[in-house]
Amino acid sequence: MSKTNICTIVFAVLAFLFWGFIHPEWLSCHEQYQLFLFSSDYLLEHLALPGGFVVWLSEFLVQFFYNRFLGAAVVSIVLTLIFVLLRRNGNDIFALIPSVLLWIYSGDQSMLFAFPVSILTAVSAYLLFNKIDFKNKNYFQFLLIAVIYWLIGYGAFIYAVLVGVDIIIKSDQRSKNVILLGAQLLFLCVLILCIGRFIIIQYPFCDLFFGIDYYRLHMTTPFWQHLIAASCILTFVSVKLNKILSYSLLGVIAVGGVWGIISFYNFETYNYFKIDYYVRYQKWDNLLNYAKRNNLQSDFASTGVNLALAATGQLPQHLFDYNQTGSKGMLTEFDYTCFSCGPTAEACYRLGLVNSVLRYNFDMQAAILNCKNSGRFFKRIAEAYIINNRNDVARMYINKLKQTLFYRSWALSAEECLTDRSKINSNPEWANLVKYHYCNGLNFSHSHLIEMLLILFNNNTDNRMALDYALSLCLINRDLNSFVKHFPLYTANFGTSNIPDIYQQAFLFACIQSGLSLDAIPKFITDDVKTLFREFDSAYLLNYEKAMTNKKFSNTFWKYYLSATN
Amino acid sequence: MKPLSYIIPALVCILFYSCNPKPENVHNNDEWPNIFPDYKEVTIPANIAPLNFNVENAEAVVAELIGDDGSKISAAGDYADFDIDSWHQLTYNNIGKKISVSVIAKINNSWQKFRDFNIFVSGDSLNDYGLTYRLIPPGYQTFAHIGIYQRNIHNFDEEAIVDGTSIQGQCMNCHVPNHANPDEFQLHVRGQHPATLVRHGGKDKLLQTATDSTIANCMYAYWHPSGKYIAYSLNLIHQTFFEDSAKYIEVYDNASDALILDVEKDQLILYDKLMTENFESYPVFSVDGNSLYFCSSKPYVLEGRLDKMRYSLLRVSFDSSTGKIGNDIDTIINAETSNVSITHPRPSYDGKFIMFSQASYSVFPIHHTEADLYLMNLSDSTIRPINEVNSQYAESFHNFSSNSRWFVFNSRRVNQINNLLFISHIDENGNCTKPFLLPQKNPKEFYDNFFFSYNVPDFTIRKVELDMRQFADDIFHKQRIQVGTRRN
Repeated sequence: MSKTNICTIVFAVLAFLFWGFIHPEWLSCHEQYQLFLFSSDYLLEHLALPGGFVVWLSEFLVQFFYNRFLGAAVVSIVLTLIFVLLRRNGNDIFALIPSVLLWIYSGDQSMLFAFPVSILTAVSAYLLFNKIDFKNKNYFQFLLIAVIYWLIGYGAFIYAVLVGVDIIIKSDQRSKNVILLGAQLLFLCVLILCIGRFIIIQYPFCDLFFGIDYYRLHMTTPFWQHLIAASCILTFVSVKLNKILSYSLLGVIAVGGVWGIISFYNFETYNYFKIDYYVRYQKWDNLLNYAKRNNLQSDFASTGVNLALAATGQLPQHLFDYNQTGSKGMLTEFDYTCFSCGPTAEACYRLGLVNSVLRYNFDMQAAILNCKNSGRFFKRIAEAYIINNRNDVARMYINKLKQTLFYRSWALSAEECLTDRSKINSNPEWANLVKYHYCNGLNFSHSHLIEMLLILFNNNTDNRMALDYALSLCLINRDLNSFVKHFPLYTANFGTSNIPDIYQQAFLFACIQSGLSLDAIPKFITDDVKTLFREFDSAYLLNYEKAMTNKKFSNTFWKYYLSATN
Repeated sequence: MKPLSYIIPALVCILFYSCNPKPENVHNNDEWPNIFPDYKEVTIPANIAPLNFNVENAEAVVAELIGDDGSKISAAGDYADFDIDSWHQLTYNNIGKKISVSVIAKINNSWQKFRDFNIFVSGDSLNDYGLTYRLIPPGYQTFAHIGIYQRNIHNFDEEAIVDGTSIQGQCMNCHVPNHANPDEFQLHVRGQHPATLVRHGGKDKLLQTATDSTIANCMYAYWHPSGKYIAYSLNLIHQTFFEDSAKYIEVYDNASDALILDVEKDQLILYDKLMTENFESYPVFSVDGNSLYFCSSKPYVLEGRLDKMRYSLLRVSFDSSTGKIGNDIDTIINAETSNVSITHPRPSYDGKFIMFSQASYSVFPIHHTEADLYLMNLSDSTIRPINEVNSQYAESFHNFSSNSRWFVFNSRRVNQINNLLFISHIDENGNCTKPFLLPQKNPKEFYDNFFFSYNVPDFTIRKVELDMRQFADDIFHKQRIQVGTRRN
């Protein structure tokens, strides 16, 4: 096997591992902000815009991101294909640069997969053009450029330049071909101006030139896009490099690539996507491990962590194993971005706050800046409408999902519930949510979360998550009075055996604060908790700093409570 | 001629004929067909787009329309899809008469002929170009998919006046023309680049309407017939959300005032009588421009009593030469005594009526199922619910055509979630007819895939011309004119 082929395989495998195992959330983020439909209308809708075909094609590919391994394979294949195809220009090492740059640039979450796909299609079209030979081929280029522009948008510039430079390099009449290339590029520019003036009047010219839906923000074309396009031309550089220089250059590309990838896939941004990904796919243990390993501290992360704890039935046991950020860390508020409320919407869903599920999903859907629909949000909206017994509206969303590849089977089974409501009971999650859903004018208020959660619990005492959230919120707010007031709800419904340690700690602390001695504490407080409290109390009185940093007490309510009051 | 020139059209005809359903063994059904939209017994203007319709659960439909004059057209296929020119020929031939609609549909493999129904073609024209409206997706705080559109009501053409593709991420609302004339209009952009676009005297200007003397940006607008003034309310809008299957949201103001913009001087005219501790909203000028109607409620919401926010309809005289309002404010409908909330008053341009929304409470009736349209006859001050158009779901955001013989309004009656547009005829005496849903080429397919709500609809006598790119450029880069204030 040649070294180039080994390099290709290594690149492909690394790309697969990167997206499949290190950053699968990247795939999820792309997939959840689009909804590819297998319908002729959907295709025609895209073909009506310049570059629409490539956007359609990219959305077709992105739907496979639903499964992280399929998604990683797709991304890996696209990047590797660009490398392999550009290698045909003769320079193996320089051919790697566009793919590496694309890998780096992909870390910008606003970059859409249409851009790499447009490069792939532009390069493929260029190679195809080279293969086919006929008379007056160069003049036929004008028509071809127009067609390619309509199909792949900005990629037409890449195609025109690749073809033009190739002809210039290979021909004897260089000046004539330089003029021809210039004329072709000028033609393309005039064509775009005409299209913008007479056909596509609503889009800004910069989007018509540099690609509609190559980047999620309109009127914005990052420098990287042009850099990557320009790097494709580098592949024509026909310098013979010796072994040392070749390896050195490869090393520089590798080191630069790694540095670039780390910079673009920055932790500050990607930890949010990661949490959202774990919530979406209900990977609760992964979420908790990730939060603990990285000591995450944000309202968003806390909402995800608390949801994961509740979903795994560990909320009261391990509430203070993780950073808590106050009441906003229980249900983060919407912050006008399309991912800001994933964990909150999921928590509301599990709590039975069905209208809030609708509201958050609608708002996240409406915050997708390039106006795409979301399969993930559509599915939750349909579920919420089913639970609300609004089958006619649920059907609108289900009908859309039926036209997809990965949501179709779900949509078909959900559709059965529309005609036969008894089938809801065969889905335990929905059956519970129908029971949990409180339909008596409950007012959703972030400032009255505890009261709202208690109403939910009192409506259906099977909804233990609501009570755990309410009591946990009392503790997170360091509001012992409210905790003591509402704690009897717990003992009345779930008995006094096996009370979670955190509740015991809080109740014991409240008793001590009210003047009770340890001997007079109710019997349901276990000896272990009492012993731990004695130890904490002694340590605290002896040395505050030491007590607060002692690992033994690190997860206790007492430490959490006192860390803010001192 | 080459043989192909005969063969191809012949093949097309054969194909067309063979594709059209041919009813066999037709059974009579005495019931009316279950069609969507419900166009049975509606009254239409002659030049409206074809009322294409679908028959529920039908595999194939054959519809034949016979006018009182004897002319007929037909349509056959998955749904009734009429040729636009033939349709208009039929409707124009039958102005002031009726068209009988005969429907045969194949349902469960059996052809059924239903009871015929009528479509009445009004003698009153609707010569306006079409409608303008905002399309808004479900959502409460974000605006990426919002746009203001115009629809040619004589066919199915819809185009954006301005939408999220040109000014991404900005909220757009309240496109308000002066008496349906697009030579003068205003619209707001909200978000990171707020502005109010005012087109007046052939020029567009971007205004910054928030001032130190006022509580908010200008909001609900209405033009003075002279074009010299725009009446505005300023609203501090809030939303509260419910976990209730029937009610999701209540929109309310925490404060609101009314004032008038002097369009030529770019000055807000502030009036103590319109900026009281009460909440004033929805100011509109009378058709002669000598009065200003507005709604007002006591500020019960500040005491936590949202359910007591009932808006009265008030009127004050207005002198357009000085911009001054009169000393006396007349109460036209007293909300306190009638226990209802009056909002969105809209005078007809012939000066005969005021149409308004009435709900049990609230400044925003769109989310109130009990909200209905009411009509006040200005000649004798009688008020009546417009039962001809009201449903058990919310009706709101109505407006008259330029000749006042038609009105458009929002209703949630189709699926209780989306606000869709209905048009109804109103005669000189205020009698209205059964409304019809805004026609679409394939209504079932269109509305089943339509996730948006129509909002703030209005008629426009001509197509609104706005250079979207220039507008977007201005929104992002152009300096706003800061409006001044003066007290009157």
